[in-house]
Formats: sequence, C-alpha cells, structure tokens
Amino acid sequence: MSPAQPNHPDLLSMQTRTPILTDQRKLIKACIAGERISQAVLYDNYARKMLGICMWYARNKEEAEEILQDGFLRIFRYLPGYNSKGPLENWMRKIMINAALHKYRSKARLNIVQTFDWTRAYLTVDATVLDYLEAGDLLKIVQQLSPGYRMVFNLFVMEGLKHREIAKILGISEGTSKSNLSDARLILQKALSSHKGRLKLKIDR
Amino acid sequence: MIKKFKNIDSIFKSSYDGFEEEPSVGLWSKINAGLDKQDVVIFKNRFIAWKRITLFLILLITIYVLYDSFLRNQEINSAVRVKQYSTKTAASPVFPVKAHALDLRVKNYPDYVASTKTGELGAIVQSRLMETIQVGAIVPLVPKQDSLILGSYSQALNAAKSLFKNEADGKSNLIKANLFKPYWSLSALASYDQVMYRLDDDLPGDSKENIENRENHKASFSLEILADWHFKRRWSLQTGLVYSHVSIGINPQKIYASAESSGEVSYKYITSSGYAFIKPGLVNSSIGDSLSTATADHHLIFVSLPVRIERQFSMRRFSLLPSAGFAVNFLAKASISTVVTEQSRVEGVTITKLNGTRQSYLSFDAGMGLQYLLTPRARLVMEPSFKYAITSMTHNNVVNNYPYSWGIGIGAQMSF
Repeated sequence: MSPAQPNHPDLLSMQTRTPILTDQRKLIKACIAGERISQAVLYDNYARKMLGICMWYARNKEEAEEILQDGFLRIFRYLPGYNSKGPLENWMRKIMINAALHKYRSKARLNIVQTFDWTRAYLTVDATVLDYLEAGDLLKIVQQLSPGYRMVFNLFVMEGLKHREIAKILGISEGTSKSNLSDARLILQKALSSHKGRLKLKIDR
Repeated sequence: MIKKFKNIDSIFKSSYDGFEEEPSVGLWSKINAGLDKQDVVIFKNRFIAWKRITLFLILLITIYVLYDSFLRNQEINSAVRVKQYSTKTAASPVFPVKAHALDLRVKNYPDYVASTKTGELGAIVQSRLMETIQVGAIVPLVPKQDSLILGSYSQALNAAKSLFKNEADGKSNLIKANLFKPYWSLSALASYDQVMYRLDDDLPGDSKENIENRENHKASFSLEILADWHFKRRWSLQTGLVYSHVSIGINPQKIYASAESSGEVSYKYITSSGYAFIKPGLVNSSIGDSLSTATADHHLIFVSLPVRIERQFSMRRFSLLPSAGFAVNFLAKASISTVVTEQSRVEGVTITKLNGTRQSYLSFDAGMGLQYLLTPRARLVMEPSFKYAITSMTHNNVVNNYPYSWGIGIGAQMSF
C-alpha cells in the first residue's frame, strides 16, 4: 500500500527536492535510522488517519492526542520489526490500538463503572435517524460510554474481535465482555434516541 | 432487537472506518521531544553494553595476567633447561670450538634463545621476551677436550634463571647488549570521545551564550590507524589517520530571514561550527521573518593526521606510553538535520554545507597508552587521550570555535 499523499503542498515540494522521502521503503529505512525529517514526513502522512482511530478509543481529543503521541513513539521504536509484508497503515493501526489499550489499562483503576438504568434504556432507534447522523455525532456518543464499555464495543464492532479475544486483551471474563457489549449497545441506543427530535427538525428543513 | 443492534453496529463501523481528525499544531513537537528522550535511552543502553564488554575484557585480562604470572614463576624455577651443542672441530687451544650454541628453552617461550659468538669468553644469552627489551648475559664457558662446555652446569643454569627472573621482574642488573634494532608497529583503536569546545566571541550581542545554551555535545567516537616507528629502545614516533565523528544536539530555536550576499532572502541557521542559509518551501520569506526549528542533529566528521612522540616505560608485560604531539584536523563533512514548523506545517531540512568554517585546524594531542603484551608481537592497547585546538575551526562565523576532547580508546598493536 502506498503512503498517503502529503497533506500540505509544501511537503510535496519537499519530497521532490529530497527523493528519498518519496519511496515508502526508503522512508521506513530512514525512519529506522532515526532521521527526524523522515519521521516527520511519516507523521504528516498518517497523523490524521491515526488520530481518527484514537478518537474512538478516547474520551476526548486531548486524550486521543495523548494516545497518538504514545502510538507514534511506539511506531518509531518498533519500526525495525515491521516486516513490510502487510500494509504499513494496518500495522500502524494495530500499534495505535495497542497504545489506546495501554492507556486504558494504566487508567483502569481510575475508571468509574457506569451504572445503567435498564428500564429507561430499552428504546428503539429509527433507521432514518441513523442515516442523518454524521460521523462526528456518532463519535461523541461513543466517547460518552464508560472506558470499559467503549473498549469492548470498539474491539468487537470496529475491530471485529471475538469475545474470547477481547476478554484476554482486557483481562476480563468472556461473560463480562458480552455483558459490557450488550450494555454499551443499549446506552448507544438511548443516546441515539435522544438525537431523534433534534434530527427530525434538521430533516424537515 | 438483534437486527437493530446490527444496524447500529454497521453505522458506527462505517463512521469509524473513514474517520480522520486534524492533530493539534504542537503535537509533532511533543513527539519530537519524546523521540529525543528515546534516543538518549537507546544511546545509554548501547553504552551500557560497551561498558559491560570493557569490564568483561578487563576481568579476562586480569585473570590471564594473574594466571600467567603464577605460571611464569613456576616455569622460571623449574622449566629452564640448558642444552649444549658442540661442533666436532676445534678452532684454537683456548676456544677449541669455533661455533657453539647454547639453547635455553622455557616452556611456552620459544623465543628464548642463547648463542655464543666466536672469540668471546662466554655466551651472550639473548632474550626476546619483549621486543623492546633485549638483554644479554655472559655465561662463563671453559674449554673441555674437543668441545666447549659451560664452566659448570649449575653455574650456567643459575645464570639463565637469573637472567629470566630479573627480566621478568623488570630489574636491570644484567649486562645489556646492544641488540636493539629499530622496528615498526601498527595500531588500530576505537575511541569513545567526549567533545566540547571553547567559544571566543568578539562581536557584541549574546551569540556565544545563546549558542552554548542551545547546543549539547553528544557522545562521539573516533577510529584510529596508527603507525609507530620505534627508533630507540624506549622512544617512538607515531603517525597515522584518525576518523572522528562528532555529534551535537541543537535545541529548538527561532531563525530569522536575512539577505544572502547574492541578494536572496533566506533563513540564517547559526551554529558554533558555522552558519547556513536555508529556504524552506513553507512560506515566501521577507527580511525579518522568523521560523521555528525543532531539535536538530548536527554532525561533524574530521580526518586527522597526528604526529606524536612516545616514551615507553615497561614493567613485566605492561608498558606505559605517554605521548604528545600535534595533529592537523581536516573537516571532511558537516551536516545539520532539523524540522521547520510553521503553524501546522512541517518540513524537514538538511544542511550539508556550512559557511564560516575552516578546512582544517591544528590541535595539540596528548595520550597515556597502556599496553599489555599478549605475544612477542601482539599487544592490547588502552589509551586515554586529550586533544585541544590551537587554532580555531571557524572563520568569519559569529564565534571562534576551539574544540577539545577527552577520549578513551581500546584496540590492538602488532609489531613487525
């Protein structure tokens, strides 16, 4: 997979001046050699996408940027172990998710388990509402989940992991993983429903 | 219910897959600072490995020296054997043997030889335990019938033992024979260097202080190939080639646009070693504009030609070699790598040509070599050294730069 095009036209012009940066293999090699310029280019190529991933695993942008920072430091540290067989972006995604999990584990003691009111949560969601929600709105809803629910939901839904794998990663039982996912879904349903009225106005306009 | 969940899952998943977010402006600077810290840790770890290797080598050598010393004492007392060979023809009534050889052999030291010289009243016993210590002793001989034998076997044996023991102990009560022949030796050393500099600043302003504050010398290294001409028993001249790699970290700073001599407007990047004009593609600059640069890596490569005089002090298998001299240091390469940031834009800049540097500078060199004799021709060498620039390495820069360095080298020497 070829690296993403630079976000800035100036970086494109820099790449034409320094051809070493145009080839991904050479770019990786230069990053491994510790060349800060190449590391900056790699960051510039992937920072937006990686922050996009981190946002779903974090409570807010500040926390996501902390994960991104840690993730990029891990990327540069472990880059010599990247075997070039799979796409670099996928490898970087895994590193970012690991960084997010590390952040979650380090804060695990501080995470307050969210209490959930089952009686009020059993609501339905209109498909039309979902169609009109933007990615940013959905992100905000996920960010409102407690860290434990958010992790299970993201790993199951976004990454496609099984409950057995999630349980192993998070150090919880398989039953807890299933229960957390179920709770997370109900909370999300409830949150989506609260958007209904506001969105209906938007659709009518 | 499950259908609804699947519906929710897929809508969240599709939003997640394509989602991107613009990072904050200063985030790269934080990562950059984190990478600097990682580099320091990596360097320290690397250095720890070298320390362990050095300690292991020192331990190994110490064990070997102690073991060898014990063995030598045993050998001197028990392993000296005197053999005598005689020719069949007699030359004169006093010295009936024209050629006569006395062969002393000590276990593990085949270089111990002794020979007679025709016409001398005895045998000059020559030892080549150490290349630079060649001593002789007269072993009394008396004629007997048609062959020349030792005056007394025990006398010869004692003389031989005394020779080896005194030589091993570093005592010099033996009769020294003028057996020294000049010879060459070749050394290869790898040295860990801590490089610093003295800056002189005649210009008004605070250039010197600013440069000293923002530049941090990192550990550097040098590789040396040296040839020694041993023209006297204890004196030698040393020369060769030294490749030095100097690393300097430069803290983030603001650089300002000014006019080059050609009239072009560029940003001036000033270091202790010289300055460069850079033109990032980020912005169109006009005089007085400023840009922020991230932490920079500054590398200097020198090729030096030293000439030193060396004096040797020997004690058993160890030799101490203080040396002093001068070196001409040629600047082979200078480079600076940094990242320029302007708002959220990032651009890498590599400077490969510095203005305001001299092609070469002169330095005073001194060292204190410690050698350990492994075999008659091979030695282990460890040499702390000090270098101090006599002339500045810069010219027309904002500061005059006089580099100096401490180093410790380790390597080997072969004699020819």
